[in-house]
Amino acid sequence: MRSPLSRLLAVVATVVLAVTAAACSSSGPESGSGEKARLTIGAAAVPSSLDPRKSAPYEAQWIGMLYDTLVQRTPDGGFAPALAESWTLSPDARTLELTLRPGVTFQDGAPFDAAAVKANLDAARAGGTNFSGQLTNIASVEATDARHVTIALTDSGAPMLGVLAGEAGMIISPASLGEDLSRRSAGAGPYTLDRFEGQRLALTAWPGYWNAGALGVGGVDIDVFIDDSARLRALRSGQLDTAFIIPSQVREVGDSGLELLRPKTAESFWGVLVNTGRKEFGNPLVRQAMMLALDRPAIARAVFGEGGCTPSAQPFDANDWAHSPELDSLPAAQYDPARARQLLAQAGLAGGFDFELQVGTAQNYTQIGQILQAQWGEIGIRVNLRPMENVQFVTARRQGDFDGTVSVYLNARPDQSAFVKNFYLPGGIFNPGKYDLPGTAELLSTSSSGADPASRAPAMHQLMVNALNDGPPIMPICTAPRLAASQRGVRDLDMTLETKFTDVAVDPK
Amino acid sequence: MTTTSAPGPVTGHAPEPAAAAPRRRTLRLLLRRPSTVVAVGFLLLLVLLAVLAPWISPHDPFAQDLADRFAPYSADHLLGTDDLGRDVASRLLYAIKLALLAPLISVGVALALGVPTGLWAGLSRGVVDAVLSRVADALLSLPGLAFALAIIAVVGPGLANVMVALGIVFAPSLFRVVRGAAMAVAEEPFIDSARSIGSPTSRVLWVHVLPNVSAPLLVQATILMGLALLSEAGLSFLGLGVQPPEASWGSMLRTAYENQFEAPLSVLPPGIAVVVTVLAFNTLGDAIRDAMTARGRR
Amino acid sequence: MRPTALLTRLGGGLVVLWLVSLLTFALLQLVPGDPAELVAGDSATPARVAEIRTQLGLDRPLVTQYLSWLGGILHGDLGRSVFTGDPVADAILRAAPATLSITFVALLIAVVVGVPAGVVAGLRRGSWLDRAVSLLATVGIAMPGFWVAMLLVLVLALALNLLPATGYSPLGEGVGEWFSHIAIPATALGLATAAELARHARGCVADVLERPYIRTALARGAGSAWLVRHHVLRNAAIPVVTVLGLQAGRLLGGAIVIEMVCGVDGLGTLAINAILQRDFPILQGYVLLSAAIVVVVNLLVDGTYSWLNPKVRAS
Repeated sequence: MRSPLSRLLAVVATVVLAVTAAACSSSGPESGSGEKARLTIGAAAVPSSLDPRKSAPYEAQWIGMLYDTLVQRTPDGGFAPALAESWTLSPDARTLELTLRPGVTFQDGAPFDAAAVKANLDAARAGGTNFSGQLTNIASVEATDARHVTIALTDSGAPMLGVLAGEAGMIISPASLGEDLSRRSAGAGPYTLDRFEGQRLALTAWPGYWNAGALGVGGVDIDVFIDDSARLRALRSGQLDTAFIIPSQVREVGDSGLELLRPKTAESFWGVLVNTGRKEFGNPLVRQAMMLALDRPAIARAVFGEGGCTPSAQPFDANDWAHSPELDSLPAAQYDPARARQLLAQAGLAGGFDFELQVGTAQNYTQIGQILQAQWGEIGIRVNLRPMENVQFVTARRQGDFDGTVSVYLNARPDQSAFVKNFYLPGGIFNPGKYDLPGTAELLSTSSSGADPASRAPAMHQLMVNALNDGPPIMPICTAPRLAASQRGVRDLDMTLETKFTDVAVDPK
Repeated sequence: MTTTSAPGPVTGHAPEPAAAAPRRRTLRLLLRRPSTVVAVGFLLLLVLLAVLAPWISPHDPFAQDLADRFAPYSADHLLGTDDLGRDVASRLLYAIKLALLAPLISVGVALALGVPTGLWAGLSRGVVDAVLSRVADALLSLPGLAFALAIIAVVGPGLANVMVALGIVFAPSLFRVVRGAAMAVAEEPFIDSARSIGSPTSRVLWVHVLPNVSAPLLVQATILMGLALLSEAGLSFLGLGVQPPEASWGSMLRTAYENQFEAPLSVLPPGIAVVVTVLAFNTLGDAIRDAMTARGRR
Repeated sequence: MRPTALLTRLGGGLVVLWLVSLLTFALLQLVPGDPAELVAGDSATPARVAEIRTQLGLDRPLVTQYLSWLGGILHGDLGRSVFTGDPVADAILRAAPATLSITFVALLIAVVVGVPAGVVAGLRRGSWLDRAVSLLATVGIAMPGFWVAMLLVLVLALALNLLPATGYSPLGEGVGEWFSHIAIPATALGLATAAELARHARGCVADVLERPYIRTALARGAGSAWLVRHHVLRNAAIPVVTVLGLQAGRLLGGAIVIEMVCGVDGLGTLAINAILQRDFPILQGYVLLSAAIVVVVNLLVDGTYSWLNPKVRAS
């Protein structure tokens, strides 16, 4: 007679076998194609759609690998030739002429030429893309000949280069313009799409790329690890070649013998946005007081560690032309709680006031929120923290449904002028209270007229200083570079936002 | 998180009209075991500490010292400091209140939902019973934590919402206990005789049914207290429970997890606090069950 | 079980699943926040959001949405993720091996450790071994699984470097790799179940030993090996199987937080992300699948129960 226990074990064994079979049937990653090693990247997310027309912030990096861009933004913030070989901005800044690279073909075999560029830009201007709003100042696009495109503009055109270095410059093969490209590629970029499923994106180097000689890896695999600690642990265990990290992990990266990758220019900044249409935030004295009550170095060090986020009262990185060298030493940018209390009293708010501060649920958000609560509490402003999940958080911010909100924003994408448009000009997407400081639009226009950064800087600096002295509705805390770490055997890796992963190579393991 | 302990032995005992004397005997039976005395003593101590926290806490639990983050254990900071330089011991002490309130309220919600529906289903039978039981079955077939997450997705994060969500998650198991016991009681002759002499239904419920249901209910509720604390810790760990700067043991575990490389030892104090408290709840639950079983056998 | 009884149970299971589908669908309609907003990204215009809402079919009447979803399920189509556009069934199939591996190894650990420990403790009631097992079981039930996982990761992975700290490796890439990745989460997950099983096994064995005919047999000099083989196991197996059925839901739920601690991309991670992103179709698929697993396990338990206990079979 079989004992009940052995029957029980038989049942368990059967079930285990069933699972084993299920687990085996899931396909593992294929072995590398060609002789070159593949690069495996750990990211916090991959795009939901690979269509550049549907790209969201931070997704351009992956999509650009399939499409390439007309202009390549370099890690130091300058612009280099890519699909366009050269360009000129007319002296009145109203005409941009592009000279296209000859002999380039799309991955589907179609030739890349001026007609293709015109077709792309005209289609996007008609609407339906996430970047159509960046092209509203284009009056017309002309294909002068096969290699030349002339873009006529309605206002000062310097920011257009940055636009063409982003999604708007990712040229789609005209034959595919009318199609759904969320799960396939129709570009001229260095990589072709191999596999795209849920949490994994696999790309293979394309031998037909115009700069194929620069391709150092056989392909790129992007694996998603939403949890920051899990991602770094995967890198430490050798599962990944490189991964994005958060500033508080810098020490762990150093201790575990990995290489830290810090971009030359921080592409984003952390800041508090207040709704000037709500509470007491319409009063410049209140905003000035809140700026003075911020101890930026203390916040930056506590939340992001030493050097993880550079304390600054302006959004731009010190290496950016838009950064004003004198702004951070102005009185309005200092930590001065006593003066802050005076200003509040002057505003008739000696007893302070209450407001709700929305933050995300990730640790850095809640930490910043709690520190702000303490620092503004010092001058009598009572902060109620409200951590919100991603969708509600983003939605509330976009719809202007907040008193104050802590967030991280790109500071110079597609161009430095976008920051001013978004936050300081009426109609800006992050200006629900219709904040409007006289003179801002004029200074912005002046700054957008010059072709080179040196000529754009003075007006921009003046604009930022004016806003600072008025008490800006967006209160920058620190500029944050997106950090990554890599194994020692990975060479020439560029992890900035616009990288196309062309020069990187991986030593055989 | 679905209920794990079957309260079988208790529902089996013969229902009897409850009186004061057996209750006192139960209490005596209960306190005969040293482990129970320790558990009850510990829970009373927690209540005392929670009440006295503002006076005996070594530091202000919210006072930040950004220059002194992740300080090691010392005489000044008994359990070190956290990611914002706040005193961990003080925060642990202040969080006791939540560790006691969260289980109490979520089990309270579960009782409020489960008892009336259970009585209704158990006494009325028929369609009502069939529908309610099916719904309870459906709810019980969901992993508890996943169900709680779905509810929180609707009502949003926050301690109050977590407690309500857990209450809803626990309600079907209490419903089952009450329904079963009510059915058993309903078949007893004294119910019929009470009804025949004209007692109103509410009085029948109050005097005859509830006291007989209360024994298995008490056991199940005590066991759920421990489960509620564990679940609250898990949900707060996911960032869905108590919101900063308030702390619960679960959210402190989250902070410790986020900073496990900088301060590995900080996973210990909140974790141990959870384990010991759940242990106390469970020990008490077991003891009540054993005492009731012993009483029932007599 | 007789065929009619079996059919009744199956029918009951289906009704439960249908109710679950209705409940989850209804519940998720109450969720604030619009997935179209998130898909649209940070800087989209309201018109763009409306366009996306239409594309996703979120502007149709609720009844239509429910019926088309339910109709799809009957054809094996669980819909598509709002975000990746991936079929939900694919996403679930991709995530399932990791979670099922962890859950089943956890169950295996629980049975292999918990049952013998409980049986031995029950046979030697009052001995130091019994006390040790009882104490460990009591503590094991009180420990949050995710905390145990954190401790194991800290000690075994980060300090001693014995096991990988994170991730999952499919069985197809080698049993060793596979096991080394799931050892920590499975142990953390299985601990409470092992404790629960040990307590039940101990209680059952002790109960059997109290029975008069066993006492008589023992008094006549029957050996403990005979006792275990002929009486204890059979009687102990029934409640143990019942407990296993009750644990199925607990294990799936517990896996959610443990997967996060251990960086495993399983069903739990899928579910949490779906909640954070308001990815209704994925969340509905997950909830329905979990309920189906629990229902099926309980049907199996019922079947095993009657197989183990002829009295139930006859009745």
